[in-house]
Amino acid sequence: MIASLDFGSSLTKALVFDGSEFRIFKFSLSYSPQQFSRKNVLESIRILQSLSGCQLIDSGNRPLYKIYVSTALPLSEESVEGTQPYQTLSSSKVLSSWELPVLDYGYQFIRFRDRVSVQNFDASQVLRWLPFKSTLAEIENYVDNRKIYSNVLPIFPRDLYIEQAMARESIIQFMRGQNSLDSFAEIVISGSIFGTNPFLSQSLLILLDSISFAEKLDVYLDAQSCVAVLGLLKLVEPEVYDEVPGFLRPKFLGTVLRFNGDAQVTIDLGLEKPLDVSVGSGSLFLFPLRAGETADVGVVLTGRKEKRFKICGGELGFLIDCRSFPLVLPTDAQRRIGLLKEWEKSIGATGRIHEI
Amino acid sequence: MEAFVKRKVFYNKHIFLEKTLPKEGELLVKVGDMVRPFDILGYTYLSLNSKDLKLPAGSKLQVSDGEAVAFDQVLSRKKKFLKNEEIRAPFSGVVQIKSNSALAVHTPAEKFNLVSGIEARVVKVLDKLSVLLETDAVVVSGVWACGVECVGEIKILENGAETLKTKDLSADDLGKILVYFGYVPEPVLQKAKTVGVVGVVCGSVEMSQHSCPINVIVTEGFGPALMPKGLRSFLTSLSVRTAVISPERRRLIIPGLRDGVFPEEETNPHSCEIKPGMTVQILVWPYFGQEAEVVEIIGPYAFESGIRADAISVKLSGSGEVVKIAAVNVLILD
Repeated sequence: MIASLDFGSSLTKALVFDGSEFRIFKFSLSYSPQQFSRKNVLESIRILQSLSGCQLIDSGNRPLYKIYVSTALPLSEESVEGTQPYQTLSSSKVLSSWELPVLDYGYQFIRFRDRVSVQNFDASQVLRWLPFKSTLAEIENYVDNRKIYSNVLPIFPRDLYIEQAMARESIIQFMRGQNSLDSFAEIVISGSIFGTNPFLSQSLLILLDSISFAEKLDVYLDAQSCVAVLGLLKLVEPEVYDEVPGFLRPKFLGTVLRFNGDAQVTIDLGLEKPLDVSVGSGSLFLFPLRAGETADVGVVLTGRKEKRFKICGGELGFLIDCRSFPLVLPTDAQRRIGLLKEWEKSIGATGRIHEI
Repeated sequence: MEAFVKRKVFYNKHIFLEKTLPKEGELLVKVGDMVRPFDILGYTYLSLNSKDLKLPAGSKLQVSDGEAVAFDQVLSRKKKFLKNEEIRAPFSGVVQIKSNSALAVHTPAEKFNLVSGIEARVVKVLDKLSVLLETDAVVVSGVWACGVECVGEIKILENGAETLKTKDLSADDLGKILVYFGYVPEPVLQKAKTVGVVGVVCGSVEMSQHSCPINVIVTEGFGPALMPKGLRSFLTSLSVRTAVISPERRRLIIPGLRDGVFPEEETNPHSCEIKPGMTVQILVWPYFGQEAEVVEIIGPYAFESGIRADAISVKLSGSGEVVKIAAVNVLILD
């Protein structure tokens, strides 16, 4: 019987395994960021106990389950009565235990592999990613209120676009400090914006607008925001981790092929005739190749030899990105807004809705 | 369906405040003493004006260390072919010779008294410099703050609008803690500093005030927003009381306020079930900071952005408009 908790700044994510069933819980101690203290972790365990109906600790705080906790920051040495019924690991260590690189985006911290950084949003840069006119004051106020009220949901489109713009800018700034950016061909995206985004395609577009990679990238989405709690299990209880059901694990969204320039694409699905598509320089093309399906894809760039790829289908399909990276957005507001809308439209912002 | 309860006013039995002399001096209290607001805890002697002066190489001092000098008196002289180069006293004071090439002039030291400002018990006396006081107090908790700890008399500002203007401030505000229920733009904070205001407690400010010029406690957030009605009426009752702004813990502390029943301060806010008829505060634009009454508990709902979440419908207290909002986007007002 195991409970693993990821104590984050805005939410605590927890996985409880009572010997037969795995269950995920998400809760918070406050409407503002949670303080990283031993007292608060113990309080979270008590809340988890009441939510799950499982007795995790006894009245003397002695563990009745094996309890593992990952935290983004070391816990403050606040005195807590009784023993400490859990074992702690740093969430950076936990996330880097995944065989695939994990990009975890939160409002307080952003993490990639074993690197972590405190968020510092530059409102003037966030503005450029908005497909509507806004003001610096609006974005500054939004960003600052978000730091105070860390659990609110963007229920209006305007708020959702601001959140997505914040994520783009934050990832761009964070990844600038990375070495060998092109060295990974797979990535798991996790965290607040990716977990709450109503459309899978929007999550993918945020990533593609923000990171650099070499030609081919397989993208997995942690839709349940539980890579940290699963990572804990993987590290400390690998046999139990092997039993975790598939729906809790990161989902394969699809493969992205990125080229600079016009591309002639041939998609062979094994049908009578392959499909030919032209993807112009600066544009995106999404092909809805379903999970379980495969395709032989040939790509010819102007004046170059054909390149062939074996592509597997995913939740979204596969995507050809012919935009030159890093993206340079027009300074003229009208043109910039037009371009952002065009990219969004081309990969279908009306994709599948997550279940929250 | 649950939401967090927003409780802004608490009672705290053990508030600690450190009162410090600007430099070492004499402390007049000892551990265990009870002090009242106008009691003097200690004193030191301070020069209120001081200026460092560099002497040109080869110049000859005309004064000695500790000597009293008058304004414009020659302090050093260097002989030159046409005209001597002289350094003169910028004001009347006492000379301090620092080295062969530097001296300072200080105005005569004046007595500085460290006043308690609150009714409290002395719990620690530190190195002729500071006193730690313990008291019980009512605490108003904010969501953001800046500046340093300060004490002042509370003055409530009301201008019938939701935004404070520079013209609403006057010389009478010198040394006061100004309480304004609504939004305080940056130029008003600048003027408050110029006027000599000790600190500002307000509903909301702007982001660029992160480097704000004055001690500030914000109770709601950033961008125009009004304090909830309950908090407004409580703060109104504090007019002319002495209070402490403690930016480190985002609190306005009102020591010795024992008339009233306030809950004990909590580490984390508690949550409770949302029910129709409850008053809530909305945390997202375009209704940020507004109070509303819960009309209906809806349950899972797909919002305009595409996000699905537990929803409630609320009636806005100002316009009477009924809107659907996510339950996590409100706080229940206590």
